Amino acid sequence: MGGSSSSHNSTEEYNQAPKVKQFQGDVFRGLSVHADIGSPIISLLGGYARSYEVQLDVNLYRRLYPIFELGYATARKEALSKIVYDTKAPFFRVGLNYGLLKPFRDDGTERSVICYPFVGLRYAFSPVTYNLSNVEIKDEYWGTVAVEDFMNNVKYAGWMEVLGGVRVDLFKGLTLGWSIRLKTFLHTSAPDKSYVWYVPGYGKSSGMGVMFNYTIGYTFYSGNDTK
Amino acid sequence: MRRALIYILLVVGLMSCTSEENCMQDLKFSMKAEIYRMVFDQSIEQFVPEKYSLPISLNGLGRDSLLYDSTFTSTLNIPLQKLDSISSFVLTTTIQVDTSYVTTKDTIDFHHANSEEFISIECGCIVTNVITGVAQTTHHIDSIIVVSPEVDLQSKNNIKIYLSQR
Repeated sequence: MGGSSSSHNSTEEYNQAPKVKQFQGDVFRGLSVHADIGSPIISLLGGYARSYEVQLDVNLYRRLYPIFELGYATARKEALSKIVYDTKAPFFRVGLNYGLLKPFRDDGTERSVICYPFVGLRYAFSPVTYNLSNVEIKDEYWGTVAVEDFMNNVKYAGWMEVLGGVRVDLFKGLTLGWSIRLKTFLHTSAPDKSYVWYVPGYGKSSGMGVMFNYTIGYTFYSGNDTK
Repeated sequence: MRRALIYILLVVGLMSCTSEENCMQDLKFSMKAEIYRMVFDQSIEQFVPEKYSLPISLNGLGRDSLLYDSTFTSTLNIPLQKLDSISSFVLTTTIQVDTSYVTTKDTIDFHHANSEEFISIECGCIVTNVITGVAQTTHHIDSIIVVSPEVDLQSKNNIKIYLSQR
């Protein structure tokens, strides 16, 4: 009986190896500056919108990456109704990326985390400045028509983004990254989101947006930390 | 796993494809009017309003096109002007007096403030009105009361037209 009990305990000990803490050591492990090259390249292929953005993220524990993204977008679209929507505005995103690669192996040794997959969350915001021109007001019964322009409208729009991607260190801090983002519109100061047809950083306000980012940049590792 | 990923990307891709072509909203609205006459209620020995259906013709002043052409009705949808602040209409009523039919014309002027409201680039603008005043001849019309001055997509009944006894 005693032998059996001892054997049982040692198996339990083996299965319950102490978990390695993933958040240990220095907190600050680096800083990255990236520019999105995907959107400008897609813009060159045509379309009504141009978008440019840069990202700044901080590496904490090689697992958490608080991030700030700043961008500027323009769009001009003539609808079937002949109304022209024209916008130029900056946009801002704040959020966090979470590295999916554990910085420490189960045996407690450090693992290289210069190439890692991640998931993230953003809150984004844009003060949308837009013009509406060639707006026809037609009074069918009275037989009158007027064409009007509504210029320099400013409305705020906010949205959430859920994303997943990969960051790769190519050579001594020169880093590439890509991410795919799923966006959902949260709020606007306009009476309805249809007023802000295109929101810089979000895209068309109707429906859920999907966006692909391809970035290139540089990572400044703290001290001798290049892992 | 790969199949699930392809399925998710396909669904997400389809979700991002939204129609941007035509206006799908019904944005037509007009001022709504109800027609009343006063009838004597024996039980309370007072005149009380009663909804009144009769043959009605209606057109905008200076417009040949009839909005109603001898239509037997007690409710009217009246389009106020979008680009002018006064809308004038000719209301023609026909009633039977003894054995003959009497046709009477009244002119009604509606004074209103207009506001443009942008809906979307597909649908453009709507123009809502707020009735600020009413003036009318009194050949058959006794009075007009503005019940709800806002004429927009939500408005139900804006004015009551009371016809006089003949």
